Order: sequence, then C-alpha cells, then structure tokens
Amino acid sequence: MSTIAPTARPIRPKRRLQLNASLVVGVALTIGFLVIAIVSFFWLPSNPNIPVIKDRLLPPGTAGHLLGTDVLGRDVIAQLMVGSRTSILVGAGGASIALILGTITGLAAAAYGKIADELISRGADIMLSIPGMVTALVLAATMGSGALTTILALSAFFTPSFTRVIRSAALSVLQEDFITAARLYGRGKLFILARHVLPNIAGVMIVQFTLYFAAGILTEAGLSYLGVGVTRPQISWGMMLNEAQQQVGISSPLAVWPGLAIVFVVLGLNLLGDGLRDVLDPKLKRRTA
Amino acid sequence: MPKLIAMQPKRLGAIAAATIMLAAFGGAEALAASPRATENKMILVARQDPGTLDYVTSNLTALRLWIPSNVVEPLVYFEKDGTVTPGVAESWTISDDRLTYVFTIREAKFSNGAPLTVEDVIYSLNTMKSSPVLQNSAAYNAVTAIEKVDDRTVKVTLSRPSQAFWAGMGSTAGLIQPEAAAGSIATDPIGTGPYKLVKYTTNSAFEFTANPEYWGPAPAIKDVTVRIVTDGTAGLNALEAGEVDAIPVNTIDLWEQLVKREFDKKFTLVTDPQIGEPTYAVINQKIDPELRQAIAGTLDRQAYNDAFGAAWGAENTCTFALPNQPWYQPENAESCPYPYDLEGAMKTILEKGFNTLPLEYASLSDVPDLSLPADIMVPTLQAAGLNVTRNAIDLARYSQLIFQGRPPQFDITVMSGDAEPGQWSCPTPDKAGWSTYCSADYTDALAQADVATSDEEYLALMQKAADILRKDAVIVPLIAKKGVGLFDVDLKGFTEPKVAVAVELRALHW
Repeated sequence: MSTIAPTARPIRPKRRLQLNASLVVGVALTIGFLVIAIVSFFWLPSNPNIPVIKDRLLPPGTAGHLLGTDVLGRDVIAQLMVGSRTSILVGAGGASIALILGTITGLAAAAYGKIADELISRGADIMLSIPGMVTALVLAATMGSGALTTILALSAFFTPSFTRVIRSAALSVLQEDFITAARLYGRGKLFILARHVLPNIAGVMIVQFTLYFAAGILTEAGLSYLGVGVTRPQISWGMMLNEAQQQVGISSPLAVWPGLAIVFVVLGLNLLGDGLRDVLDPKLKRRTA
Repeated sequence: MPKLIAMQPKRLGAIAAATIMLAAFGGAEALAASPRATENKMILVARQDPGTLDYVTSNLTALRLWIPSNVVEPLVYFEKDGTVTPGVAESWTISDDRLTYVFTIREAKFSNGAPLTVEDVIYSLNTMKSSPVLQNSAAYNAVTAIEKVDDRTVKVTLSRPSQAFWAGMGSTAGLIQPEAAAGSIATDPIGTGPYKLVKYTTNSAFEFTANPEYWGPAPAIKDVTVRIVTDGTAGLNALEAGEVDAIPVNTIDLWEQLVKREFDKKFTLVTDPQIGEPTYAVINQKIDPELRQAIAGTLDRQAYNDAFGAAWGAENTCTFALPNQPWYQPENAESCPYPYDLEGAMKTILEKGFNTLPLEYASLSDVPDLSLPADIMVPTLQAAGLNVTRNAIDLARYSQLIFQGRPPQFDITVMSGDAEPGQWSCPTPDKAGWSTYCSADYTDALAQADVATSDEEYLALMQKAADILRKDAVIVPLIAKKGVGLFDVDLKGFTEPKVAVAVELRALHW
C-alpha cells in the first residue's frame, strides 16, 4: 500500500491542470465571442448590409477592411460581428427552450411514476428518431425561414435529448437518502424536485446547455448555408458561407472567415462544457479525489 | 565556374527534357478530345430542373431550353435572316388579307412511330389555344376556326390580321404533339423533332437519342445527356475536369468566376442575346404612381451591373427587351423616364410622406442572380427613407405568392425571365400576368401592333408599347443579360435558337 499512494497522488495535479486548461481556453474563446457580439451593438466598422460596389472583393489586409470585403463591397468583419449575434440568439435560444422543456419533462418522467415515465420516454424516443434537419426544413417550408423558425426547430430536436439526460440525473438524485428523508418529513414532490433535485443536477444542466449551445450554432449555420435559416438584414455565418460559395473561384478567403468563426466558437463552447463537467460533475470529483 | 560550365549541358538537357515532357503532356491535355467525341455522344449541363416537361402548362426556361425544337417541333421555323422554313408543315399559304392560313402537313412520323396526322395538328393548336401560359394562348386571340381541309391540310381562320399568330406558329404556341400521347406529356413528350427523349429523371438528367423517324437529316451527335447540376461552381468544375462537354447557359452569378478562372480561354465562349434575360424590378401597381416613380429613381443600374462583375455580358437598360429585339434601347436620357436620382427620390419620399408607408420586398432567397440584386435594392430603398422589410422566401413559396397571389401579395420584387412583351398584356383583368400588372393602354398598344400590316408599323407600335411600360414604373428594367454558353473547343456548330430559347442540339457536332 505504501508504494501505491506515492505513484497515484502525483497524477492528480496533472489531471487537474489539463482540465483547467481546457476550461480556461473554453472560457477565453466564449468570452471573446460574447464580447464581440456585445460590442457589435455599439460599434461596427461599417454597415454590414449596405453595398459599396466600388469596394467589392477587396483582399484581406486592405486599409479599413482588415479581412476584406464581399461581392457587394460589404466589410467582412462587420458581417462576422453581426453574425455572432445571430449565433447567440439562435444557439442560446434553441438550447434555452430545450433546457426548460427538457427539465420539465425529464423531472416529470423521473418523479411521477412509471406511466408518466413510459409516455415521456417513448415520446422522446419517437422525436429522436426524426432527423433534426428534416424537422427544420419542414418548419422552414411551412412557417418560412428565419431566426424564430430555426429556434423552434432547434428546440424541437434538442428537447428529447435534454429530457433523457435530466431524467437520468434526476433518477439518480431521487435515490439518495436525503430525498427519502425529505419524503418522510412530508415534503411534496414539487418541493423535493425544486429544493433538492434541481440544485443537484444543475451542473449537468449547465454542461448540457453549453454543448447544445454549440450544436445550435452549428445547426443554425448549416440551415442558413442551405438557405432556410436567417436572411438579410439578419446575418449568419452560415449565410456568409453560402454567399461566399459562388466566389470561391474568385476570392477564396471569403469562405474561410465565417468557417473559422464557427470553428473557434464551437470549439470554445465544447471546451467550456468539458471543463465545466470536470469541475461540476460530483462523480468525476469523487473519482479524481 | 568550371563546375557550372561543366553542368550546364546536363541542366540544359534536363530543362529541355522537362519542357518537352510538359509540352507533350500539357499540350496533350489541352488538345485532348473529349472521350465522347469518338463515341458520337455529348454531355451538357443544365442549371435547373423543370419539374415537368408539359410545355402546354409550363413556360419555365429550364424546360424550353431542351424540349421544343429538339423533341417537339412547331409548324414552321423562323430563321435568323427572317425567312420562314418548313417544320411540321412542309408548305403553307397566307391569304392577302392575312386572315386565312393553310398549312400542308408533311408525311412524317412521331418519335414513337405513330404517323403524324391532321387531327394531331388540330388537337395541338386547340390545346395551345386554351393553354394557361399566356405566351401560348395569346397567339390565338384572333383565331376563329381551326379546320381540317383534307388528310394533309389544315386551315386556320382569323378574325383580324395577327403578328402574334404567325410568330406563334414558329414558337412554343405552334408545337405539334400526338393526341394519343398527350397524357404522358409531363414526363415523356413526343414529337417529330430530330431527337427523342429516352429518359427524364427529375433533378438528375435528360437523356436524348437521335429520332430514327425524323424527317430531316439525322443529327450529327446521336446520344445527348443533359445533366442537371444546380450548383453553378460544380458545373464549371465538371466542365474543367472534362466530365461534361458544354454548359450552354451560364447564369450571371457565374460570369465573374468564369473569367477569373479563364474558362473563356480554355473553352469556346458564346454570347447570344436570344437566350439571355432582362432583370427587372416589379412594383405593385396598386402603389401610388409617384412612389413607384420614386422607387424607380433609387435604382442605380450601373451598381447592379458592377455587382455581378460582368459588364461584358450585361447592359444597363430601361427597356423591357433584349438587344436582339428591335424596340430595345440601352439606358440613356431618352429611354429612361426615371433615371437614377437617389437625392430626388429621397426628397419626394419625404415630401409626400411615403416614408411612413410599410412596404414588403418579396425576395427569392435560393436563386443567386436574384438574391444579389435584392441585397442592393433593399438597403438602398431603406437608405432612401422607405420603410421596407424583406420577406425572403424560396422558389416554391415565391411561385405561390407572386405567380398565383391575387390580389398581389407583395409590394416590390425583382425578377429575371423572358423578354416577351406580351406577358404584360391583359385583355381582361383576369388575364393579367403573374404580377397582376394590367394596363389598358399597354394592352391596346400591343393589340394594335398585333394587327400591323408592315414591319415598320409593327416596330413603331411595339416601341409605343415599350414606352408606356417604362412610364408606368411597374415593370422597371435594370439590365439586359446575354445568354452565355461554354463549349468544349472541339464541339462546334452552336446556332441561335429558332424556337424561343431552345438549345439547337442538332446543329452541334464534333
């Protein structure tokens, strides 16, 4: 035993350092993304929707247009900045609605008996069997494309996943002794769920939210790329990719910038989610302790 | 130095060898004939899928590029020099008062082997007379009777002389189909043309082969495949890779790329106004005429032209026509009643209080050569002080909203399409075109042109009609785009379309 402890203990700081590094990078990228979006409300290099034909297709590095201009002479940086707003609106909007609905249904499935559990779980299974992109395309065809449609589509196919995860986490907490104690003390189900279960699954919820926020941004970009997401005057990075597609043979960097923006933001949110999971997940904490 | 001198011959030899190799392989690549040339085949690219091949009920360019003239023929052909040559009709006579046309139908067979009969001709003309496509049915406005004279002769009687009728007999309005096969026209149109359609796979390809029953000389290339490649860049890549032999129609959004990638040097570039299209704004006729004129004044045609970076193939114009139409005029002070004047437009908008009026711009989101003008037009209208919102919709919703919307479901939009002036005529309001534009003056001018007895009179009346259209500021032309085609350098014989915009496959040869 005395030989095991010295070899096992030195691993801990290294592991923590790795986890913290991913959290730090994730936080840095995500804060950078949020700051850019906030700044875009107060300052933009130029109007991202007003064409300036004489400045069309300026290369990166041009004075006043660090990343160049698009086919109508609109500044790429200004478009990327406004595009970050759309990403936040749609990604966070879709993930938030799904989080709220998924939490309600997940807790109900966990706490309100077998029939409720079966109904909700099988409902979630059915919804998960429908490809999310198809849901989005159908909604876009019936309601018209736009940010609201995309948010609804995202919440429709994120909610079942949230339901499953919340249900699973809640079931685990509901088996704890302090829950039994609360029941014996006469507390109702709603009180137990709100006072004891929710705080104990908050970490899982936050982690899931960050991951689905990233997935929402990716899906929104995909839908806008296909032409069924947002349309101008709103700007999306996926829309910028779509517009750049016709210019690939003329001005290749136009397709690079929105692509890089998507990569960094999604990477940042995923690292943030991973880092938060490492910090907040009690099981992981126990394992590393 | 000695070492250098000693090595020079070797280096020179290596350079010479490399040069020869490059010349041999590079040159071979540049000169390599398409593999289809030896097999007497060709593969072409189309940008759009028509969805239906029923040319009676649809006038989509995506359909009219391939089926008329190649598969289904009209009664006569109008040649470039103005002469009229036989089609399904081998001869014809026109009475002096231009009220009676007698067509002698040739002894021929349809591509399905069925004999061509007078009954088929009468059926076809009557079908087109009741076609929901205005360009087809308008040709028959003056027709009072279509009768069989004998087994090879058909007589058409008109109530008044009609330029549109005679022109229609050489266009889609005069296409002849077998009555017995009319039920399958949407997927398998039959005709007497040089090719027969072997297979049409939606969103994939048309396959044609030479029609063994064709009455004329067999086409030079026996088998033709038209691949539907909606992504323009992918189409250009396929041409560059030698996977296809030609893209007969390249939309304007590809022109700049086409030049930058030197396709115009590596392939044969043809420009032809006849398969070109005007791009024009459409303003709801219900909008105050002064506001329509102010909106027209915000349209900087040069900006639209520059935005596509292809001034070599498009011209600024205020006339709803293409340069091959005699009443066409490029943008100038005389032909533009509402030239670009943003400050003047802003003043009018403010003075008349138009800035408080909510306006909706219907924008087609999935067609690049129409979404780009919208990207310019909407911010410009907003900058001019108008309260414009952009309703971006896909082609399916656009068709429903714009083409079928009664009353008009939009305030402003931009379109690109046929330069056929007759599409804006409206003998009765219910016959109004897809924009629901209806002008009695314009319709009268076209009707007068239709009964013109000389080319000069016809031209003068068409110019009068074009002028009415301009001043009305409902249909506001921006640019006239030529048809731009790219062909393998060994694929020769491209000729201007005889029937509307149809690509004449029979004329092409290796």
